[in-house]
Amino acid sequence: MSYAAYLPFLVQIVLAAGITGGVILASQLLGQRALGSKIKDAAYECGILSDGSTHTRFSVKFYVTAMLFILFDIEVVFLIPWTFVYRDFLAQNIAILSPMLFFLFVLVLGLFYEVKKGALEWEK
Amino acid sequence: MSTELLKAVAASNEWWALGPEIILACAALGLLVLELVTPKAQHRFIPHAAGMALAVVLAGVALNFGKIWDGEELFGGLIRLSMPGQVARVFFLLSSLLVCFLATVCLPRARVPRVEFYHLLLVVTAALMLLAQSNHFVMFFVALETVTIGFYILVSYYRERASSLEAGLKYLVLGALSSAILLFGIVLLYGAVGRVEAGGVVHTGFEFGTVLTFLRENPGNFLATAGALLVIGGVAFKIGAFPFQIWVPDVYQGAPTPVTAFLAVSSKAAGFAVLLLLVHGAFAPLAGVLVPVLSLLAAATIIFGNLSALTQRNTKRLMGLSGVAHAGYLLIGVVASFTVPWAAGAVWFYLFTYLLASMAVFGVMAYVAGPDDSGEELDHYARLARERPFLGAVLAVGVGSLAGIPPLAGFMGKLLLFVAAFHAQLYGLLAVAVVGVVISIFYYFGWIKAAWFEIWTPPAAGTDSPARPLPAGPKWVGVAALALLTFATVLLGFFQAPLSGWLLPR
Repeated sequence: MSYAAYLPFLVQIVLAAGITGGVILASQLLGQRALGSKIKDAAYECGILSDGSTHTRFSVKFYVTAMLFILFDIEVVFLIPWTFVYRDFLAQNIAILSPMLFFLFVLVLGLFYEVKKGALEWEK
Repeated sequence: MSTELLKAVAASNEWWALGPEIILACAALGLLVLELVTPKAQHRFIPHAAGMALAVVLAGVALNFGKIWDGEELFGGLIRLSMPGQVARVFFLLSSLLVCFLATVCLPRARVPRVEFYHLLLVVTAALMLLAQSNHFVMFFVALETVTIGFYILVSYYRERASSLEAGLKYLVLGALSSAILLFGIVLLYGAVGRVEAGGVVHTGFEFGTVLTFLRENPGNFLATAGALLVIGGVAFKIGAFPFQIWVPDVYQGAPTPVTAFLAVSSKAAGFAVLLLLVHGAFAPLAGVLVPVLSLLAAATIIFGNLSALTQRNTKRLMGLSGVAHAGYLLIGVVASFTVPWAAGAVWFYLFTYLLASMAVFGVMAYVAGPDDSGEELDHYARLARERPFLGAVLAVGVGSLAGIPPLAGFMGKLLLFVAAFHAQLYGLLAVAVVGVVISIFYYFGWIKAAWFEIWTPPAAGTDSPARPLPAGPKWVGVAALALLTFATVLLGFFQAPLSGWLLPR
């Protein structure tokens, strides 16, 4: 096995580590700090004191929406290549329309199910 | 990819060959539609619809059993039809049908949505059937993940109950770990094999056939051997073999009873179907490594399962840990099948007897359990034989078959496995297995004793009286199903031809 083929990976790793380390080092060396004054070291929040936890809880509805988004995102991932090869496949007499229609049918069925089950009702 | 190649791949898409799986998946969607379009009062027919779908597909597969071309590769090599694959289809359909029956007994007692359970059951069944016929690591992994993700939801199905959620979370965390091990193995194999060009077609290490050729040509390849062992490790998690068995008792206890039965029977059988597929297919040249590893796993699994089951009082933990021991006996069959070809048939024979006996026992458990089915102790069986003699008899036959008492099917299953091991000259493993069986008789008979022989125990201080009323007994469907399972268990003990003539070569 030739290890030369893996050289790009090594370069990538060295670059990633070098840039990250360099930036942190530069900010340590060049950045201005106010020793002994916590307020001056805090993140700048338009002059207002920052308070509250950064990790707040979100309603579960956001996750449902995100999942639905991913579902239909994946539909697009399948549909776009399909449009590109559609004519070629038809010319070669390979069935391509009915499988995709079945796929879309299942997706639309899923959407119908969600609407009926109230997954898209925000106010509930 | 050239269009000619695409055309060849498209020509191998024989949809009829996957008819059973496709029909099941469509039926699963159909159940959800039925729930939407029918009024709520009629929803109790939906479980029957699921059962009907399973029964129809089972009949279809059984009728067309021999009508496949053994070894035919479909969908560009993703699926390979085979006789063991057909046996696995029948097994999974039968098991799911019985799980469906158990669910109609158990689910009405809990306040949970019901339709989704049957939906998931059908989807998981279809995925199990695909898994047993896969011929490509991507297909294999996708089918396995469909099964596992379905099980994550099913295990935590009683979502208002802490024990069920705990079991689901444990299964999720450990299942993800095992998936990671499995994937790492697949990636190592893929990397070791690389890309092989033959006749203008590029093969990769994802295809079982390519892995087989590669291992035959490079038997000592370290990466590929490590990959194969990691894949076996991922499968060992499914069957609950020794170093990967730690999830079994807690998950079995917390899961709803039908799901426990499904896990114990189908999930374990899926592991063995895949294991047989791999060790006789892609990993066959690695026999020199796999035989010692699997032998060690088998011995450790038998000892661990039996010893840890000895002290259990909770029936589900008992079933889980004794199931670990059964996985050990089955692993002996897998080891024997390297030298004795019919041992693979013996493994399937054992799995069928295990299916019949386990489902009978889980059926009784479903009828004995109250609304909370995770805390079912052996003490709850105290007056079973007197108040419900039928359930007591079914329990005695089922547990006796699991223990391997002579006139029952479980004995014949063990006998076939041990004869195969004897022919393969695995005397050490045989000795461990016999010791394991002797230990198992203790805890299995403890269960029968709890049901049949009454012992006066002084009431423990601070607890209510153990006199917990038994729930209502089975109606005619339940009686018929349990009687059929018991009858089959007894019949197969005397007369094995219906099953062995079909599983074992003449």
